[in-house]
Amino acid sequence: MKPIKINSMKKILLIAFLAVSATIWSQQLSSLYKTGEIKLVPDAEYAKNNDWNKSVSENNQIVVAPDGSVFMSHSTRHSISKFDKNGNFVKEFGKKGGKSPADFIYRPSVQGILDGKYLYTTAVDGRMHFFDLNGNWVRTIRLKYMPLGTIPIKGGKIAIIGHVSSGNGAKHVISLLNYSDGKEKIISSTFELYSSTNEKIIKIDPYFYKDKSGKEQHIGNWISCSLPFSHPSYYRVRFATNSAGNLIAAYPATGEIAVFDNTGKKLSQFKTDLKADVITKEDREEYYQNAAKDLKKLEDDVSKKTKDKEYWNNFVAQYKQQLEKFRNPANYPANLPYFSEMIVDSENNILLFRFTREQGSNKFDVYTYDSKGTKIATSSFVSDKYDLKINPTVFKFSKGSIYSVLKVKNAAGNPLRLVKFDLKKN
Amino acid sequence: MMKCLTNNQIQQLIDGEFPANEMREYKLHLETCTCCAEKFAEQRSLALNIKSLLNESVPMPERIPDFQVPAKTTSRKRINKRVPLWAKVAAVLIPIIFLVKMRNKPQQDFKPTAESIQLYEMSNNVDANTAFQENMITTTVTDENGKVIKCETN
Repeated sequence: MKPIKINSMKKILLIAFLAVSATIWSQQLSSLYKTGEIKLVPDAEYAKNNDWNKSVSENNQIVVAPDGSVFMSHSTRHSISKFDKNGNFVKEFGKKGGKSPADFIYRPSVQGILDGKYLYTTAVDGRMHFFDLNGNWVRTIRLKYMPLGTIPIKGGKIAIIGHVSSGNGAKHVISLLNYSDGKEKIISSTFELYSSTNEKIIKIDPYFYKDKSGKEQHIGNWISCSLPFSHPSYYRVRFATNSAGNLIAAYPATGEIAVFDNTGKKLSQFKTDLKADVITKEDREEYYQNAAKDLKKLEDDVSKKTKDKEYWNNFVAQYKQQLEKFRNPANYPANLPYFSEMIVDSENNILLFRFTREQGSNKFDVYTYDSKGTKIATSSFVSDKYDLKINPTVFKFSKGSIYSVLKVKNAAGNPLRLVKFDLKKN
Repeated sequence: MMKCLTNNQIQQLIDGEFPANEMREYKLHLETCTCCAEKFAEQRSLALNIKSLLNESVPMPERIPDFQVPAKTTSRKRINKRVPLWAKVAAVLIPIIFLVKMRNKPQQDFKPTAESIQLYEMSNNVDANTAFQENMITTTVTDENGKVIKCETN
């Protein structure tokens, strides 16, 4: 038998050590969920030297690179901020424009790191910008539709949820984009649920009248209000990826989870045991009363108006006439979406977040599944210092920690902070 | 004394194929030798008849004009000189600038409406920590041309 060389032995020991460490770490994260409530403990040293009034704005998105650096896009500017692994602001790159292919025409949203090398962004006009991790522009790929969400998967591919206009209504298309040649492969296409339908909206027409010459004129615009949970964005598929680089697709309308490889082949599918909430009679009454309150306020405002009086009276009358729609169960979906968001942690557990009835409680259900769809635990996150926002665009697992942009409670000035949390049993 | 000419030599003489000095000698011989002079007259007459026959039956070939190499190319240069330098530079630069502009021109594959921008923003901003009773009425305002001018969620 050939003797094992010392170098080979070292490698074997290192792999064994990493495997054992990963198993222990994995067990730690899984067992944390089983304890129930998980406390998010902020790293006090992380990002402590930043000027938050300059570097963070509301409704942003973040991406965590393999080296721990964080990239952030903003709702108020066409640029990307980079923070180092300690959370310290490094630089800002990208600019508004359109003359150069590197420019952002519409506000960019950071989406992910492709192959550990390229940060990429999407925008409402379908432009995907690729940068190296120093913020140098590399390439722009233009999609012919609006991307509602994306996730990088293995083999230089990006899974995209596309919103594609169709003759009979919009479609949601799942597509795999190959970075190297820019070609796409569509793996599913479904009609958008709850697209604007007349029975699920309150529609107010402009006020029509005839001028002195007898010609018909109008004041105001058409206004339509969707009823609660009748907006299609609640039902679109949610994306995540696991450490193997597969695509995990979660369907809020059915509670199903499917796993695809990077060629689009479905590897597994399961239905969660989640019970979807329904909008009860009490909920509908609450919506009705809120709408009635708004109407009362509107009537008060209209009574003070001197201009376009007839238009505003007409507006109020139309609103009042349709107020009963809030009480009619036929105008609501049969049930709420099974979950609001999906996040996959660094242990490959799938966390499904349900809509909560408790505003600002910082408590919500977390369902954790292994890759075969076995339920592990029901849990929740709490934070003493921050108001949690559970959305995968600002709530990222990386190497056992959670990175997020959150509002610190009772802050003076801009309350938003880039935070790194450790997870502890509460 | 020169020998009498052969038929072949007489024909060469008719055709003028001898050098000038030999031609002179042969012609002197013809003046003194009646036999050769008669042969010469007879063959020349025959040759002229053949020539005249050929001229009647075969059209004269068209003469290909000699190729004239132009002595100077001054006329072409004169034409070039009429185009000013700035025009030549412009002729080169304008297509290049046009191509560069076309390449850098922002190309939008579709123009998002206010409604689609709102949908896009909503896709990134659902907060699972919000009480669902607070969710989420979407209001859209459309002008008389069907253009969405306002879209908001409360």
